[in-house]
Amino acid sequence: MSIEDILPETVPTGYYLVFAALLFAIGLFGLISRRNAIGMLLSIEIMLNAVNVNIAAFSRSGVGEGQVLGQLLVVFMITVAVAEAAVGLAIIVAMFKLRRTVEADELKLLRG
Amino acid sequence: MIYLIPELLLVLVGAIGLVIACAPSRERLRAYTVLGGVACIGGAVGAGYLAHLATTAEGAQIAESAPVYLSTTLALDPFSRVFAALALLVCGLTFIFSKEYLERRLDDHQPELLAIIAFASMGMCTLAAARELITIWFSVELLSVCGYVLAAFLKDDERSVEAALKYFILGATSSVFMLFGLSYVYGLTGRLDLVGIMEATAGGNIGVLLPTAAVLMLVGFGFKVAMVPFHMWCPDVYEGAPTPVTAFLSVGPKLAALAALARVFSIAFPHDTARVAWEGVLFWGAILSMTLGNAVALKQSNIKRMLAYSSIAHAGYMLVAVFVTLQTDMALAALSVYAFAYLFMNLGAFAVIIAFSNHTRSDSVRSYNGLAIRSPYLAWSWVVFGISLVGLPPLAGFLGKVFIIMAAVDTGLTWGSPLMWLLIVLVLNSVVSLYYYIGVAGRMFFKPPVTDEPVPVGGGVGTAIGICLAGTFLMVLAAGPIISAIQSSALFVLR
Repeated sequence: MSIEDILPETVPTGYYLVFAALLFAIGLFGLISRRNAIGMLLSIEIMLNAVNVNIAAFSRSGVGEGQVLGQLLVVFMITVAVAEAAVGLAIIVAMFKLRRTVEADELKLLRG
Repeated sequence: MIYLIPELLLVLVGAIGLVIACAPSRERLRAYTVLGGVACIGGAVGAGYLAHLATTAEGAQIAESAPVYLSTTLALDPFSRVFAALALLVCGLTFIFSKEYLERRLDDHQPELLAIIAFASMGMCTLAAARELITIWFSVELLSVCGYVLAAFLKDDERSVEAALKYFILGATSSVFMLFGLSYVYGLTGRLDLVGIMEATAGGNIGVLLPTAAVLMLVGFGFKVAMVPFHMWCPDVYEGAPTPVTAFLSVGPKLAALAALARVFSIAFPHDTARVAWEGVLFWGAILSMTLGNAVALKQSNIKRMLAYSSIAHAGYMLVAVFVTLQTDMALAALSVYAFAYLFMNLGAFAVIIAFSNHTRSDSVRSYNGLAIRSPYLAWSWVVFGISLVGLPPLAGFLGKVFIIMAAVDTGLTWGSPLMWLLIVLVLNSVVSLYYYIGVAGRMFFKPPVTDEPVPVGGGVGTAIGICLAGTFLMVLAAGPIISAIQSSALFVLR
């Protein structure tokens, strides 16, 4: 029995959307509950991937030009997310050098 | 393609900055600051001419003959060129008033700071012009990522890095929300260009997902604009970031995001349910921004924080113009006029703070006591910018508010409509804001100074204040030409 016999030929788009929504919710929960800046960055990346899954699924179910647009968008998004994460990590490193901690609760110089 | 000159100029200025950064020297940096500033302000005049050209038949022909990859991504219309002029002006003024600050606070890395500001300004141009969602989101990211780097520029200063970290976490989160909305818009319509989205949803049978997606996108934009309740980052970032960067952030990304907000939502979501949803969010966002911004500004003891809340309030005023974009052609004109006024008066107020803190290293409101004796130029400039920020005649801020009210009246205002309430809140808030702007001016003139030592104003920052003063005073003269320009050109935004 091969894998093709078990899985249906095409997974309905709705499944992907539910999966992406769950992934997004997990990321959001992580963002709220994590106090470590690296953890928050990871949670944001998870949410971003949820969006990627969404667009990939929509792109697959789309037709013609719409299909290409979605693929294009995903490639762009992965690239820009990397640039964003690089800047974010650099800021976190700068923070660690100054404070020896990257806990969000320690960020309280700016209040008012 | 002559319409792209503003963008190309900014890329060129930024690239030169990166080249200079490879072999920095004091003289080169000084030359770069001055020449870059002059080039950008000159370019702003050029962009103003392009905006005028775009309203003529000849200009429309040039826009139509643009290659397809340009015309599908960027709308080269008067509105986008006006915001290109704004971007160049912000960039040029930031160059000029950063001169002394950079010489005092940063020994190396100077050209990078200015180069990144130039690139961020390029993002402003494209964001205001973008007509499909990939370009819009890309420009937003360009602006944001440059913003994170800029906020962290004093990387040995804990406050600067803390501000950048907060900005980054909240900014990245908001972009993800925007993208989540964007992905559903794409899924529901199969299109990414704004007109295409509008056409795909014209049938009316769009369900509940499209309004949700529109509101999610609005959250992303609201964050960039610092619309309440997505404003939490704003005071912290403005307080911690280097002051020239704060000045840039309070004007640049905010205005570009407002322009994009007006364009995206009026073109892509003009139909029933989606429209009701985003207009509702915008209505409460505008009311809360105006009220909370001004109310909290009253009790600030740090002047950068005070101006941060004031900028939230001003974003609220401009959101009123965005709110009516679908109802009248005047709205975009009002937004542009207010944007210019806001640029001059807000950058001017920040330039005063930069000149003061260059010498005293202090941002507390109390340290401004008796400034009129120590530096009459700074004190009187603050009075002018303060009066303009409140919106009293005959300065630029007054003109901006008049245009917003004119746009609102143009929609056929009725008593008791939501718009009426927006205008009432706007006027009441202007009165409240009088208190804190003039309160600081009162300290400058009527409180005894801590020391009689004069505050020297550097050449660069002094010039920038002069330009802002000129703009604040002279904008009223432009009212006539602006009105006739609005009446003559029916097509202010390319659909």
